[in-house]
Formats: sequence, structure tokens, C-alpha cells
Amino acid sequence: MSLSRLAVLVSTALIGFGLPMPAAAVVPLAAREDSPTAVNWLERAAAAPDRVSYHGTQIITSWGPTGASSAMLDIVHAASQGSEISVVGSGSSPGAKAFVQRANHTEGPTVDGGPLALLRATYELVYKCCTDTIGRAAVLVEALRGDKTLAARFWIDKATGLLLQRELFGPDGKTMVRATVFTDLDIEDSEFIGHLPPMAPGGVEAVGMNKVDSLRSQGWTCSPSLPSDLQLYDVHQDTASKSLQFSYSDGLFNVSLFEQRGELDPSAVAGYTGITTEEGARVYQRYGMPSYAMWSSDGIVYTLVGDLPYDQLTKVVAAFPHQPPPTVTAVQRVGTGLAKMAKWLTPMGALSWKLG
Amino acid sequence: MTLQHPLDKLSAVVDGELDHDSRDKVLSHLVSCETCRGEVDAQRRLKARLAAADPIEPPSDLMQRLMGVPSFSTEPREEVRPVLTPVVSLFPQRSAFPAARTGATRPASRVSRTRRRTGVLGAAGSAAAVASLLGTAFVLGDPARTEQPPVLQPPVASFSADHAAATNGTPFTDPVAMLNSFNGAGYAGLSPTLQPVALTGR
Repeated sequence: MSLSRLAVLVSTALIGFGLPMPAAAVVPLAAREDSPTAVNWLERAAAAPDRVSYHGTQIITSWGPTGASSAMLDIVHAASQGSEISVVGSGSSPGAKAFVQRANHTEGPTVDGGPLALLRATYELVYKCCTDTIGRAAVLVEALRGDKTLAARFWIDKATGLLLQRELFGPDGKTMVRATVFTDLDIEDSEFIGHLPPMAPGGVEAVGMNKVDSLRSQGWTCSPSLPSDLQLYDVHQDTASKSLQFSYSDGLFNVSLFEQRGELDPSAVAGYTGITTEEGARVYQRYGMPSYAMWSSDGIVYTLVGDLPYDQLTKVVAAFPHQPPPTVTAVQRVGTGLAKMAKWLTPMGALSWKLG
Repeated sequence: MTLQHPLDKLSAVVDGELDHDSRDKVLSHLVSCETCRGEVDAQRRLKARLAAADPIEPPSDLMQRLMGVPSFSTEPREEVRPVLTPVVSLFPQRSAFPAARTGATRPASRVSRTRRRTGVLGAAGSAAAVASLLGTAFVLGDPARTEQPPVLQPPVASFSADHAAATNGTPFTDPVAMLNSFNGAGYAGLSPTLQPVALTGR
């Protein structure tokens, strides 16, 4: 007798006796097995920027409901330092330049920002052997969802292990939602960035996953997972605003959720699209590279920054609390005000500050 | 992801001369077209070589020859605009002096109106007092005057930078993100005193 038939028989018998079905009786999904070669190449891709210096041009494109959003970047990467990144061919930001330091990740190796451990846990990794792009010999690795639809393709340089190209696909496995492509790449023997542009403002300090329970008891929202297989893998604190940063990823898409105590200032959402939730609260979104969503609920202001496709972004935002601010009618306000004034006029009310 | 190669726009995208929508269309095409990517790469390399070349000096007598052109003058032209005064005004200004008004009627009898005016003024005064009382109560009853969490504006530029750092430094180019807010002197909306910093471990 097969395991599934046995499970069905056991569960039917238990339902007949009026007992809840034990978790062990749930039919397990077919076990996914990652190709060791694919994992090996992705590990090489994660480690490559730590030991390879290069100069190249990269295009990042994100497709959404309102069309495509793209960026062309000139990247000078020094293995020992980090990357100097300049925007190319954008009239809106001539000369825009930033230095991004290579982060020391506590969650292990990452491929294009996604933790490799989460990529392995969420998707089935398949080795597709040999191809070439921008004149360089490369290997192709694919990530498949549980339903065997294509989630991502990785082109990894055979000579250096650098990730040359990455394409991400929507739930149908056919619609491309995001792509990162090098259009040219020169491997440098020794690259050193002498004149660093300013680093980005802000800065973060590690809080760590072991503080999550403590933060939750203090009233912060710390969901261990979000829709679309996003898992919480790291917590930081922004040193400038003292806000908390919760990092979520499925290995492909990355989201940072920032939480601050307070109420959202309406003037902060100029240029954002306002959406009213089912509960009557307001959420302000801006889809692009990256996408932003802002809202406040129960005295916490949430700011979500990430690269999720539009549909998944909406689902993720909807998973959070959205308590609308309490509405006070004009009559209630006048009543409260009159009560305050009456309190001033009574002798005890006037002396209340002295009496404690 | 169009099928047609936008060959006429490839040099413009390298030079940053396309508007936002056109640039996005061309870059989206480049993502999926190796032929055009090669063309853009060749144009970028050519541009880099031209930029590295020595600047061309103009001939020493160029300025003299330009001064010899009759219509050339270094004096800025003064533009003369006729000042038009409208003959008929659409909104004639009313005089502040009632005597100057034409066709103004004088008040008839003051005695008969005094009591009525007193009553009206009294009623108006009472209504104003009640209105001011209710207005004060309305202001005092504002829920914002009680213990409320602070109203704040999330520092989006700083958050974008934190997100980029956490995701291993893929910078973003959204107009409100940190990369584009850097204008060569500082970050928009932030202290312009940001200076290059020494590397510190995270």
C-alpha cells in the first residue's frame, strides 16, 4: 500500500471518530533535490566578488504593471574594498555616483543579494551546463518552484565565477519580472579605488535574530515569514533614525521592512499612490526600482523597500496590520473640549495640578 | 522587449539624451538583445577614447575674425516692450469715501432703526460668544492634543541605502532613492557635509 493511500485511510478513519488529523498524516510533497553542480556554481558566484576585481557595465530592468523601469550602471569593483557605482546615460542624474561597501553577511553567502541558504530552501536548483554571454564562456543554473515553473536563471562566468546575468520570472514561469545583465566586463588583476565617493547616508548596526522575541514583546511587528516564501533572516538598526530594519528574502527577491514608533506624516507620501485597505486604513505605494510602501498602524510607521513584483508586493503589504486611526466626530470633539473647560472651572480641577 | 532594434537610439542612451520612457524602452531591449548590447559597448568604448583624447585648441585668430562679423556684438541687446495701459478697466476700484460714490443713497431715519440695531447686535454678540465657545471646545477636543505618537517622515534615502547595503550593494536608481539624490556635493535632503569616508567593517 502506498504512503498516500495509507494517509487517506487513516485520516478518513480519524474523521469518522471525530478526532483531528495528526500532522504526521499530511501527505508530504515530493522531495526536491538540488543538483550538487548547480549548488557548487552558485557558491562560486557568491564568493567571486570577494576575490575578483572587475570593471563593467550593468543594466538592471524591472517590469511592472506600468511598464519597464531600467538603470544602466558603470561598476568598478575592487575585491578588497567594494564597488564604485555610477549611473550611465540618465539625464535625471548626471554624475550620480555611490560607493557600496562589500557587506559581511551573518546569514552566509549571497547571490545578487539573495541569501544562498534561502535560495536552496525555497527553490529546486538545476544545472543546465554550458552557454556563453558577452563573449564569455558561462554555465547556466535554473531555479524551479515546487510546481516546476521557472523562477530564475543564472549565468555564471566559467573563468571567474562572477554572476554575469540573472533573470527572474513571475509565478507563470514565463513572464520576466526582473533582469540583471552585464553588457561588458573586464577582469582586472588588481583594482584599487583611490578616491572614494561618499558612502550612502545612514548606516546600520546589527541587532541579530536572537533579539526577535524580545523585540516582539516590546510591541514591534516581527513576523518570521511573509507571503511569497519570504523568510526573516536578519535584523539591523538604522543608526540615524534608530528605526529597526527587518530583512526578508526567498533567495531571489529581497525586502527590507523598517519600523519606527509614530504616525505617518501625510506630507511624506507626496508622489506615492494611496490605496485604501479593507479595514479602511491608507497605504501609500510607489512601484519602481526599488518599490516602496508606507503606512502606519497602532503607533508604528512601516516603510517597506524591496524588489518584489507588483502582485507579490501587494500580498506582502496586506499581510501586515492596518489599523485605521480612530475617527472622532465633530460633536465628540466639542463634547471632549467642553468637558475639559468644565474641569478647569471646578475648584478641584483648577487645583488638580497641585494635588497631583 | 521589442523585436525591432532601436539602432537610432543606442548612441543617445549612451549620452544620456533620452527621456525617461525612451531610455527605459531601450534598456529593456538591451537586456534581451546581445547584438544591441555589443553595439552599445562599442559606442561607449569609442566615447571613452574620444574623451581621453587631447582637447582641440581653436585657432588663435578665431576671436578677431568673429569680431569682424558686422552683426556680431558683445553688447547685450536691450529688449523694448511697449507698456500698455488698459483704457477700460474690467474691475473699477471702489472709492473708500462714500461721498465719492455715484448714486449712493443716504440713510433715511436713524431713530427708527436704533432699537432694532441694538437687538440685532445683541443677538449677533451672543451667537458669536457661543460660536467662539464651541470653537474653543472643538479645538480643545482635538484628539491630537492628547498623548499621541510623534508624526514623522520616514527617511527614505537613508532606508534605501540601508536596503542596498543589506542586499549586498545593488544600488537603486529610483529618483527618490539615495543614488540619484547624490548631486556631486551631497545627498538631497541631507547634510551637504558628507565627505568620503574611510572603510569601516560592518
